[in-house]
Amino acid sequence: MPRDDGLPPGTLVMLILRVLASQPLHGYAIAQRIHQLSHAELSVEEGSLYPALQKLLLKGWVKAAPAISDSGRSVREYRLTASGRKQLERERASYQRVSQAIRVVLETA
Amino acid sequence: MSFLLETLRRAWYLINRRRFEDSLRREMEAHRAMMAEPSGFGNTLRLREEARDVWGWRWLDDVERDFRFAWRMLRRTPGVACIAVVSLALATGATTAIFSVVNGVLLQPLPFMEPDRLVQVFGRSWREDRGGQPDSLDGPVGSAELEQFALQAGSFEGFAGYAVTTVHLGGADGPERLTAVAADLSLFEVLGVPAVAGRTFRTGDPPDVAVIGARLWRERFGGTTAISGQSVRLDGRSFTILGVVPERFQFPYRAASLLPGALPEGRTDVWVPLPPLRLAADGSLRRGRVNVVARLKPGVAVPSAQAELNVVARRVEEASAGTRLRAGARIVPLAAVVVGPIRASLWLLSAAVGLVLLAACANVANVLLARMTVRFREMATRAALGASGDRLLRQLLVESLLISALGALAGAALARWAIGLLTTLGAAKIPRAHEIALDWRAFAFLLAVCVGTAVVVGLAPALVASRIGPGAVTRSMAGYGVAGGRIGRLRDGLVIVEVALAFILALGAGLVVRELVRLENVPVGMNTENVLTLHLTPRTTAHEYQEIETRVSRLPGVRTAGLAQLVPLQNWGWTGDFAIRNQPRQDRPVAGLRYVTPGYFRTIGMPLLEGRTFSGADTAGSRPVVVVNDTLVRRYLQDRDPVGLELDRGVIVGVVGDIRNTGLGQPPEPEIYYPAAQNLAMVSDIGMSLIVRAATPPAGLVEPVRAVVRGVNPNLAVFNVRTMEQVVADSLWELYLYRWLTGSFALLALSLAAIGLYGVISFGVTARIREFAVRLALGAEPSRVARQVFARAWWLTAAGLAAGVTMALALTLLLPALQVPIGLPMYAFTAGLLLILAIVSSAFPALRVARVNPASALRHE
Repeated sequence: MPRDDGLPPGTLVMLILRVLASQPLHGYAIAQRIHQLSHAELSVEEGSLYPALQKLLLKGWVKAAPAISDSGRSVREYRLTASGRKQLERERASYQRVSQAIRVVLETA
Repeated sequence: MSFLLETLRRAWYLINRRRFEDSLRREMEAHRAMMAEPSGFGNTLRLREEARDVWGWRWLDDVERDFRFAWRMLRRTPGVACIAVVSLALATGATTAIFSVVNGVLLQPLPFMEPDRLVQVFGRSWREDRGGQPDSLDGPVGSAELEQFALQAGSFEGFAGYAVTTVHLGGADGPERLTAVAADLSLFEVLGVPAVAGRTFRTGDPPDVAVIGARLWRERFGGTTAISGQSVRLDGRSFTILGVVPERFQFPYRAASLLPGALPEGRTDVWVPLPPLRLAADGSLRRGRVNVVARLKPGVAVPSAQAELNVVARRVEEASAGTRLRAGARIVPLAAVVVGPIRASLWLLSAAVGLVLLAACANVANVLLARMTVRFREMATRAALGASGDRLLRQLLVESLLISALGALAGAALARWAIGLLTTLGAAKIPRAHEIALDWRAFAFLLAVCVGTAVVVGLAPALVASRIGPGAVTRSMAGYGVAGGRIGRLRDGLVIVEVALAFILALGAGLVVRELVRLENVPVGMNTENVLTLHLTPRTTAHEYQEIETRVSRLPGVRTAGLAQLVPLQNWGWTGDFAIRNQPRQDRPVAGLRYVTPGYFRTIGMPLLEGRTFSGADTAGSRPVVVVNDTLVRRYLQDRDPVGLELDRGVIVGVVGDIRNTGLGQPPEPEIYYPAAQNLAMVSDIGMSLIVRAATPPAGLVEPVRAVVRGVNPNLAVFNVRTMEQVVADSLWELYLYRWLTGSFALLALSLAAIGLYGVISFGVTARIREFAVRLALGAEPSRVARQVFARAWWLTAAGLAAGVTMALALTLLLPALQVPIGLPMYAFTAGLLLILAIVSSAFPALRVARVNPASALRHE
């Protein structure tokens, strides 16, 4: 079922990696951060974070540890690993290359 | 690297699945609870599934579900499940057992270092020139030749001569007889076998050392590691033990066949240096000839090594120019010598068991197809509800996999039992029998067979199912005949295959039985009723043998007793050439040489045709006499009166009837009988066999006879106690084994064909019961309708027979090496068997049709 979350495919993983790069966060906080930082422009269907997070766990880019949220609920906190950091760099570089190219095409053609 | 880590994480997830899924669920619930508008979270259930799918274990859940479903389906139709599982269990069990034998005997390399480089060296069977006759080169090698081979032949790394004999090990309950090998000190080096404890022979070892086998080590020395240096008394002589060779080590193979009838167990326990314990005892040793094994240098091929030995042999002959001595050698790869005699039989058995497996697959496929017809509506419904063709295909393959896995499980148990039986029965008869085991290779084979049968068996129903479109469900409402045409044709084809396979296997079993019946009716030349045979060892004096014969014949219930070097049918014994005295010694004919006591001829029941047999008066001091058999007279002394004729081996005093000393399959050979008393030195040191004829079945005589032997000489060991009927049966053991194996294969294939035929015919009747009912109601004769049912069974059987006959003809053309004339009667008999089978398996369905009550049958639908 296609979701209209305004995100190009694959970018959610990159956004999560970027948000986790500054500090370890639990799921709800990740959603909040993305929402805040994008000035509410990027609104994710928040549940879709979880399949994406499972993929990051599988790839070994993040690690999860049990934690307690501000509101006192037991949640899991996700922390970027070294290989996750590398992956973020790779994705950022390739994203910049691609978006640069798209912009050039859009502006000159 | 990253792939490996990922796999590890996936596995970790699988192990802790429940925990991970729980924490994800709680996490998502917490998230929703924290949200101001939980509706923005999305479909929790779908997202949870999506998250779970990331780890890639969904197929496992599906397979698990498929297996559960398949299990339920099987339990709902226990009859079908039983037939399928049992037929596959029998077939996979038999296949795995035969594979284990083939693997242990034929496929595994001999357990020596680089066994491909080992060869057996044969010498001339006749050392002297025999009027230019070609020599078969299958005898032992003369020690002078062996020495020259070792000195001059550069293709070889080493030679080792050896001779098999028996020794007696003193013990608490009488002497234990062991098979011993007297061998050159180079033996273990040539074979490349290290000791498991202590060491093996080394150049310069004294003659009183011994290497022992693992069995003896365990049983007599408790497996102690401090074995080297201990001493052991063999035949009264003390030997220092050097070390122990591994359990698997057996050399020479077929030690039993060198002295059959005397060494029934076929394992060797002791190795001592050549020259052997009693030099003059064994005929070949006395003449200084030994068996030889040799190791080729790396990269040397057998033909070039053979060419080199030919050159050396010619040089040896030249050195002894002017004499009648000849030299020669023939080398054969050791593996071929060891397993050669049984190789063809084993491959044939493998082919037969493969056909059984094929028949079982056809049968199970047939049964599953029949169930498909009934389950068509279920399949169509599932297709209509959105199951894809792939999904239905997988479902059915899982079902067949479950059946074949259950079959394989039961088959493994069956194979274990069969291998135990085969290795016990064939211990001394199948070479390398002790190396046959249900090892990991057998299990890998079983697994492959299991998966293979699952695919073969499940393919037909699965293909039918995968073609079911979503629309089929509406058509299936009309009844379950929709896919019936295609399924019906497939099933007919499978039944034809089953009949053809059953025909081939029954034909093979029939050939074995025919051969056995032929051999069992061969006149043995003796009276086997109420005769007991025992072997006495070691050799003792002529006086003691006479004493034993006299005292045993006086035992109550004993008619006569006599001794011979070995009982008949052993394919063993000396042969020698002879000439009539004062005749030119041109081509000297050859005869078997037998050493017997006076009571032997009467005891064994050989008819005396002319003259007399031996008496107590034929002693070492009297004139040398011999008795010859009918074949010798007819072949070589046709125009003479044999009695009184002087041979260079003694005066002929009598002529006796022929006896099958070689085997039931071989024609009688010319034979010369010596009185043992005059030629005791020629009797092997393994002693003589005592033969006792009783008035009644002789089982009760064993103990009294033992007592007599102990009374005459307490050092004599009595073993290998058999009735003469057993001796005859033992000589046919190979055919009995094949009859047992091919017979059960054929029986299995015939039952499978019967089940298949019955299934198809009976199903056809059920599907057409309304039509039959209508016809009966309109006045058709019940017998006519029943005949129609029979006709279909006949037609299927006839097609199967045609295929079977074609296959059999093709086999005899493709494998002319088989050399079995099958003959028309055999074909006719087997075909008749299958036609009877067809009648029996279609009788019940036909009866059902004939007795159908039209009214109730029409109401049924």
